[in-house]
Amino acid sequence: MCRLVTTYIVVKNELRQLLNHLSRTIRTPSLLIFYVIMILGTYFAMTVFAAIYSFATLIGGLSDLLKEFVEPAVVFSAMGLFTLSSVFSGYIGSGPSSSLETADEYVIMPAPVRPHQLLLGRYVRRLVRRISIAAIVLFTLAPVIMTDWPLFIPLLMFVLSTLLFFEFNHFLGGVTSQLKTRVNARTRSRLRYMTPFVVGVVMLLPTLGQVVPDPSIILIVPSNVFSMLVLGLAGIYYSGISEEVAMIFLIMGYFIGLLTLANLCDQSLYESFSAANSVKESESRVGRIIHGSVDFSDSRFSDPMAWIIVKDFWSRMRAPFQFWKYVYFAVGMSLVLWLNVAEPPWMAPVRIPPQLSVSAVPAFLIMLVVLCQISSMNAMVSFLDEKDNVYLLKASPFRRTDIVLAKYLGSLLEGTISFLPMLGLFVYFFHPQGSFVYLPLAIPLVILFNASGVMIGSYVPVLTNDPENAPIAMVFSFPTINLVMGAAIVIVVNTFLKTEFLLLVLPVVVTLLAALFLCLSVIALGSFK
Amino acid sequence: MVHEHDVVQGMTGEELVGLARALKIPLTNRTIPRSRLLDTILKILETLETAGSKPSLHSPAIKLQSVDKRFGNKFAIRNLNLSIKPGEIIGLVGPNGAGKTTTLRIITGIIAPSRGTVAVDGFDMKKKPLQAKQRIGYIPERPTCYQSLRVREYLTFVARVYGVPKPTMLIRLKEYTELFQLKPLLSSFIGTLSRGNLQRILLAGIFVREPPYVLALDEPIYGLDPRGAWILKKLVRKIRDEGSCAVISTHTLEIAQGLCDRFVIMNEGDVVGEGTLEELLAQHKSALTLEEVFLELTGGIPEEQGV
Repeated sequence: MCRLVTTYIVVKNELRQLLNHLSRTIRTPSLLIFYVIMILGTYFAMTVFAAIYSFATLIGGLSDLLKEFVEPAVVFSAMGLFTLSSVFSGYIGSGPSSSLETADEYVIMPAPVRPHQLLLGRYVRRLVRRISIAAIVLFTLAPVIMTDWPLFIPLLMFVLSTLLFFEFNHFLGGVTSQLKTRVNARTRSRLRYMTPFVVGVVMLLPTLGQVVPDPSIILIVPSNVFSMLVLGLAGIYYSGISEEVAMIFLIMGYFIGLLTLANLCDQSLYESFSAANSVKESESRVGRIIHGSVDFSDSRFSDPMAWIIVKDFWSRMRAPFQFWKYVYFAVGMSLVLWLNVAEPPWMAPVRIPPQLSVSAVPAFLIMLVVLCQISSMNAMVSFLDEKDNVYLLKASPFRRTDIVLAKYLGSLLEGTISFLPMLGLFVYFFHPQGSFVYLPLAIPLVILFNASGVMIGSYVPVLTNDPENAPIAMVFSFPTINLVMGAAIVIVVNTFLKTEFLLLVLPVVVTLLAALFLCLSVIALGSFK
Repeated sequence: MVHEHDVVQGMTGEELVGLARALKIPLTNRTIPRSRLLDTILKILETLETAGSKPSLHSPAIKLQSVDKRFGNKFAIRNLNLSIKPGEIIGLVGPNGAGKTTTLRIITGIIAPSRGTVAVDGFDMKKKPLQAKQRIGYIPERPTCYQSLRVREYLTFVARVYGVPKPTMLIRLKEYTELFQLKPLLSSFIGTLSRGNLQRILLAGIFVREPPYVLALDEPIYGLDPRGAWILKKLVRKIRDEGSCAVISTHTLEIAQGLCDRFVIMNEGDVVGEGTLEELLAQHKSALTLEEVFLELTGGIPEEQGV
């Protein structure tokens, strides 16, 4: 009789890995630096924003604004729709097998371990990891919380409930995925495609005000509990059920979701992981073909830097996502132009209440920084996207400076494409009085953020053996560094706004910083592991 | 017993104390002479050895019946029948995309066949997967392992997953980390190791368990240095003689020829040749080596063009 392995051993192994990861990070100075940058940088940025822009006023006014504009029934339905989207994405996607790793395939899958034990171990690790991240988020938000102490408990509850609600949706997607496998194994009838609709309707109907007069009484549906909790915390809606009770229901929902998913997991979990891996492998083969298909010798460009940009452009262009990105740019820009010219009354800009006018410009600035950051994500992945080819690129007869500059210019182009429609829409909908003077700030921000992204991406093969996946500390350091720079630039601009000195100091500072980042990137390219 | 005796005698004082604790030997004195502790441990191990019966593999150890594996509309394996007895080493050879790795993944229970049955050690992989997997040792073509585990942690984890008793685990850990020269790496993180070292760790992870084994080795020599390759070949022959069995997928025909008792030649999902080297050569009179049999069965021997 073979001894059955206990879930405990698998869970312990998962937690051991998490602990080792932490211990490795602490012992690796470079990674530790990134963590310190990430945590203290965000803390600093939050301190700056909290000190300058009186969050208490903004948050106090926000509640009134929300009361005026937000209809609770819409929130319940919106959260229900969010759950519905998780159901469908679970059905279409790879479901719970997305949480498995290649090492599982070689170590755990051939071992006498039940699929649900592996899954439980992985989700315990995931939960511990997310709670740790939530704790770090709360710590970095401390400067904002300190402006208004009673904010702490609601914020804590908001972070925890969001985490639980998102996890529940993830489990529900997994449940739908497992149901799909089971139904598909039993029938080839077209009715099998009804699975996500059945699950979706069960989850959505109780959230609709037209079906249920008061969705908040149906606490078995986590989206209702989450909506009720968030609306309650914002002071918009009170159902008579305390936030603590709502939290208990969310926790119950989390465990019901997890255990249901674990119960449904069988050998098909391994099958779908292997199938997804095969697809990934064939994609990478396609990727290799694409990389190889750009014949540099026949290029009309004579500059290696231009070759790399062309290669990156075509490699990306052949990915479906990229095609849609360019469609988005064309449609988005047309929409922005049309909105600004026509100003249709049914799509009017946001009316800013007088009580929020003090905080509106700062909010505009924060959003500007965030938009620039979002559009610069390409810069960080420009090296990661190369995967193992990054070593090939380094070994090719290109100067390191050319490689870095090519990646930087390519990212700037990509960043601008995604940034312009976003900025146009944002400015159309939200343009408080006095905000236009800050609009040109987008240029130095985009220049800087792309440079820092290229730098961080180039350091991944220096600090790790895996050029494809950046450690979490590096990923989070990217927005943090940018947030800090954004905050610093905002301070500089505010200080020198009314002097001509600003026109001198800002370009110099931005150019020097961007050059520094790119130089560091060139150095990184010379020190790959 | 003589073998285990040697390993225990080579243990350091610290390792002996660890083993004594695992065997629940009371250590009440502040100091204990090494020889006395060694005697006590060996006596207990001898008692355990005589009390327990040595497990053996069911015959056939691996049985694949009418196995098909489809990916979409494409057949990766078509109507595969394979029976491997304990004490046999089978060489699975074939060109790229022949279905060798898929066969190994089906044997190990990572993927299920689209049709047909798979039994390992007498247990049906579909109905009793845990029992069927108990004896399997798998080395993938591209070795990967948990990057954030230390080598010792990984080996201990594997031993626990397969229910190896702690004293046995300590002895086998000592034996195989020394055999594969892993001692200096025990505290290293797996993510920092080279491919060859990773391969050796995965191998030690198999042998830290108790025999007999049903090995599924996908290009096991690739990445190993000549010493590591030699050790592995010797070890595979040894465990074969002790009643284990192995399926080895490889492109290196010299290795297959030197190591395997029987060959299964695959091409585009079909078995195109099967038998011992002598049987294959007898079937293909024009071929003089396994390489020539292989070439003949998988598209013919290329004509010499100015070579």
